[in-house]
Amino acid sequence: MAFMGAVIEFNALSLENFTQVLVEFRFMGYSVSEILGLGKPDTVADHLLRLKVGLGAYIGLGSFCLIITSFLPSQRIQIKFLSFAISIPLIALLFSFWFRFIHDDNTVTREDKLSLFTVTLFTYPGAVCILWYGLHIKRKSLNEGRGKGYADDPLSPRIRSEIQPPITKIEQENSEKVVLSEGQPPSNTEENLAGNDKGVPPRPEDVDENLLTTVGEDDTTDQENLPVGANEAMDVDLSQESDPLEESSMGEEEEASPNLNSITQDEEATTPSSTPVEYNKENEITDDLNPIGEPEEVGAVVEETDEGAELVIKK
Amino acid sequence: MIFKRILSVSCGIMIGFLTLYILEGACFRLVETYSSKRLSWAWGNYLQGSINPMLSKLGLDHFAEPPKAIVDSLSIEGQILKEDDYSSKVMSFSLPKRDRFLEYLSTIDDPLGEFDIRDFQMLRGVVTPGLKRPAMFEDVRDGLARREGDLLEFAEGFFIFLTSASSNSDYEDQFAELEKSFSFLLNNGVACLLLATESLEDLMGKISFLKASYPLLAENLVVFGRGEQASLIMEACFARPSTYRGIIVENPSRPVPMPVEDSRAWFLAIEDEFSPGNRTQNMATLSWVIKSRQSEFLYPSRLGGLLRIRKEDAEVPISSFAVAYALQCIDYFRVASILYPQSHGAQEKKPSTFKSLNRKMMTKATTSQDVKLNTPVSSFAEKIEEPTYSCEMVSEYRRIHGDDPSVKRLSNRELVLRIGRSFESMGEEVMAQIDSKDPLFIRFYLSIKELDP
Repeated sequence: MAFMGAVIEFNALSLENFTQVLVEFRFMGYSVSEILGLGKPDTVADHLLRLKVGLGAYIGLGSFCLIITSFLPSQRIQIKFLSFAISIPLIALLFSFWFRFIHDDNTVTREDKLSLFTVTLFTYPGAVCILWYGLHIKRKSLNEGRGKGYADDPLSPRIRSEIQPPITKIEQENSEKVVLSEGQPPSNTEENLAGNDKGVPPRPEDVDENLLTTVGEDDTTDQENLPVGANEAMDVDLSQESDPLEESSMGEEEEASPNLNSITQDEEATTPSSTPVEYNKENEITDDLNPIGEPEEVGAVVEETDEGAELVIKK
Repeated sequence: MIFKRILSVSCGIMIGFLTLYILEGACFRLVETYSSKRLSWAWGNYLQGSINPMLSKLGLDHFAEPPKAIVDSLSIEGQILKEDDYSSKVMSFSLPKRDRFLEYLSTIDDPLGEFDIRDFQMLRGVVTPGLKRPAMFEDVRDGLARREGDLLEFAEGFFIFLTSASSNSDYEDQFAELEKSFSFLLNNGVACLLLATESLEDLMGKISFLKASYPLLAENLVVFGRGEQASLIMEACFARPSTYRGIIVENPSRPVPMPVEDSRAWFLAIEDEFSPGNRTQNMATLSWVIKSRQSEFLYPSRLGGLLRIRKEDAEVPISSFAVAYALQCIDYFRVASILYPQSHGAQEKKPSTFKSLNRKMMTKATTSQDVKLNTPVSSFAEKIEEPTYSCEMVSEYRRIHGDDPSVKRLSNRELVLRIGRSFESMGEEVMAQIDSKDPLFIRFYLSIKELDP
């Protein structure tokens, strides 16, 4: 639109006219080549040569900036870079013109002064504003930071929801689910993972063959009760400890996480092991799913002992 | 992040400084009042000109060093360009005034409608600005007014444009061409005259008549000439340097030697283009420029002699630079005429000596050609010398106002009282300066003041 307006304004509908207009154009007594800092031309041919070289260089630089912009990661950064790249030459051009005008010995008319005022009035604030935008650093509040970190987390709820379908699929395939105390998700801490060998099921592939052999052969019912997917969910949650929000949520989970050893007989009575209880906090964590192995092959059984409930891995 | 913050802060500071710089420069370039103000900040007032030590560190145009002398190693062209560059810088404060002048030329209709155009006997077509002031006691005593309170016509300065127009129609055409420029000067309180003259004697006679008959109008005289007329002006200045406040010459046709003594007149030479073949002329012009800057006072030492290559407004009869220079010269002498330094050995030369001087101009024998001019003015000044109240200040004053009949009639005692009152009205600083320059004068003044308050 700007080009179209300029073409109509200067009657430069043909290239020949355009060149002529460009050569004859004067602003405050300065030619285009002088405004662009290319020196004062002596002849028309010299003027044209300077314009070709100068405009070519300017267009080349602009193109280079655009190429760099295209490689930048996000749209916001691209716009910021473009603002910066436009504002710096604009300010430099404006200031260099003013510098030249102040130190030159040329007289100017009232119309020239008015046009200079108009150009400066629009160019200077515009250039400063877009430069400010290009360099602006957005101050983040704590909540914003957390939210952002949560959003950028590769295992955010969005991503988790993406991995949810296979889990729920497996979940549906399992007719029964691991029975845990409701509102007390399994512990995700390393302490529980490492220290409570009885309560926390290891990964199926990490299961010792010897240990598996100690488990009873006939345990089809127990296989159905295995909280197989819980291992994966725990591993996943542990990988998010750097996320502040995750940390807070994880803390809540830690507080609510059940120690399998602490499951008592009474609890067992009120919450029978055969009854599937799923800990699912806003579709974030599903503890009793095994997206990797077959439920018939790998599983864990909660066995009642004198000391409390014990989780036994079996194959 | 830190890098971005540093970049942001440094960009902000840089743009802030640049904005301030541009803003100040724009005010200086476009606002006439501010440009004059900045000149006075940089150089002080006319009476106490001194370089401002703080501003001089900023590298402003006012502090451009004038080319000192003709350097043999540098070509004439190089030296002329250097002078041109210097004149552009040192007169940069006049750009708003020049803009105003050109704007005025393009807009004014009926330029001389509100001004009087009169003939002063042999001087035809004098245009006066119409400034009037009530006569004072001194004016009545000097015979300039019949009684106190009568209105006296005066002018801040008098601008004479010399022309060679012989016929009436040529004169009228040229006058019509100059009307707008004259109008601008008249609005600044400067009387104007298009003076047709052919010879040096004619020119000097007319100017002597003007100064003697109309002292209040022709106190600060600036003369402009082109070509042959420019050379005539230089010769007239050579003969009577104290008559003129400023001379502006454009493309002088022949070289003229410099006055031996320090000339009070400011000198501006304007060249349309540099002609390398005319080395003698260029050397003579450069000598005038450099010699005219030799002064112990700041303003004349910077603005007293300038050379400029004409670049702009070729269609304008008088260059805007010349108009601004003339106004600056008049403004300076209006205030500082009494303090302006004057060599004690100032002597005037007969006009008839110019032909021989021109032939021997580039030799150093010019001083031998000096001849005392026994005019009635000088003899009168010698006769009026009294044994009492004779001091350096009175002598200088008489020399400056040698053509003023009112001054001639005054005794030394009256002069001391008159000059002393003027100084006293300017303030204590001026009195202190005069005291350091001529303590005898101050003693005379204070004693007369005690006797005749």
